[in-house]
Amino acid sequence: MPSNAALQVLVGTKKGAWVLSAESGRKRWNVSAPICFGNIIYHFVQDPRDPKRMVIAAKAGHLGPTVMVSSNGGKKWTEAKKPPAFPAGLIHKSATGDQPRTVDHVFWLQPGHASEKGVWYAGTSPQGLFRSEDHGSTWESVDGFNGHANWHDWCGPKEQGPPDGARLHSINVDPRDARHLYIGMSSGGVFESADRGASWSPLNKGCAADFIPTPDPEYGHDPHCVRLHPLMPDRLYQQNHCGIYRMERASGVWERIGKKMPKKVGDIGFPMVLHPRDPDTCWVFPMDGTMVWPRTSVDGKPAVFKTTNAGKTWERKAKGMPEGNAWWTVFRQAMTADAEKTVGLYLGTTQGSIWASRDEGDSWRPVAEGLPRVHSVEAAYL
Amino acid sequence: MPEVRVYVPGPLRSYTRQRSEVRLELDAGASVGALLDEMDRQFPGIRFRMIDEAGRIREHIRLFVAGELASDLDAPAGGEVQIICAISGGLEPPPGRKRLLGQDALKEVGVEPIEGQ
Repeated sequence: MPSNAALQVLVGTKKGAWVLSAESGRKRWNVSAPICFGNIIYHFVQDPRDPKRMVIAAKAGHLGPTVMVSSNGGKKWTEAKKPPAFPAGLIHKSATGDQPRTVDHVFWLQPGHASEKGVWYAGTSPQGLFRSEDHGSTWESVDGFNGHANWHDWCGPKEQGPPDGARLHSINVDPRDARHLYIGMSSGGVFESADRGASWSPLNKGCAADFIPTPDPEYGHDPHCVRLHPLMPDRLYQQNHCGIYRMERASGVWERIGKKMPKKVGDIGFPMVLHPRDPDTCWVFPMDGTMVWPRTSVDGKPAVFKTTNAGKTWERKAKGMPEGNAWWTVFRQAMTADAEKTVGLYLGTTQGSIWASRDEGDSWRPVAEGLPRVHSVEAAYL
Repeated sequence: MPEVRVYVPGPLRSYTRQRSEVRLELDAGASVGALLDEMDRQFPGIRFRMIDEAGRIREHIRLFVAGELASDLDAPAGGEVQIICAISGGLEPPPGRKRLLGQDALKEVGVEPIEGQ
């Protein structure tokens, strides 16, 4: 983060993207005019290696998916020359027979390793992994994943997956080694590659998948959000469909740290946010995952939960949030942290509000309201 | 070369500099696929928003050639092509009545299409 850079929060919604700019030490926020107005924005991400570059994953209601890129801090946007698309010949098994595999939407964007300027990764629905080497303008299939002989076993038939489509997300690049990648798939599980995506192995041992009849399956899990800590890259955190987990990579086993959450709240949710400098501190936003999965805040009382000891204990952080009748939730890429000395947190709700905390989650206030359903929230410095 | 008039719907006009109609010169007997290739040459990126990587017309896009629905890209392009962003859903029409699409549907509810739109 440049010392003189201004903090922004990049917001992707169901009807376009917006930029919130911090003023007066994060006390006030200026909301921009909409970007890509009317488009469904799944992810809006800045390139920390080249801060004026930004990438947006977009789709319009009637039209196919695309990617928009900016090289001047979001003042001007141009469409990718070659958006992610599966190679010819790949099929998607379906109850109605084999069909050509096609990208429905680009869901997740991830800048590549610090040493590989211009490299980005994209995860799609259905589960696909793509790589760009020109700042997001042209995308190539990572065939080691998309064309893997076990793709159908890992990802399932076309009808299988979350209500809005099965997705590849949570692309994590090891800061020590550009070849070392982790991905998450809903559904499919967590997978790891040591060779820049040429080959993959499941990494789900210890993680529950209680919606699968097979006990302790090797894959088929539903990670909602997987994060690698940049200062401790062998530590992974995961908010899963079946709980909150941490893995110390040497062990190769996920430990359910969500068991320490209050029983009435549970440990189901979408996002997982890590402290940028303290690998023991992270935040989650639990949702109601009981019965028919309402996917709202638990009991209509939104709250963030924070651990400062890698999941041994959790503390409720809801000061300033509604005390009831707030039946919203926060999607997996709609909660993030900034890099300030006292870390700020930001979350976007399914009802179009952005909430912010200037004190590492201790207190919250809405800083933008009336937006469309929020899909993604990312901090940026420009 | 024969000229083909192409109606461009609102969601795709960011590619055509907001023009609602473009005119393309194509070889005689050219297919809808060839027309879309030419559109993509002139307006880069527009084809992929309508046609997926398997060469299928996307779910919410309809292509009409001289008022007839083109089921695939092999149909001849003809003199006038309308690209329609389809409204999905609804019920099957009652017995004896045909499903109305595009400008016919507008006329049915009393809306006269605007020239050039």
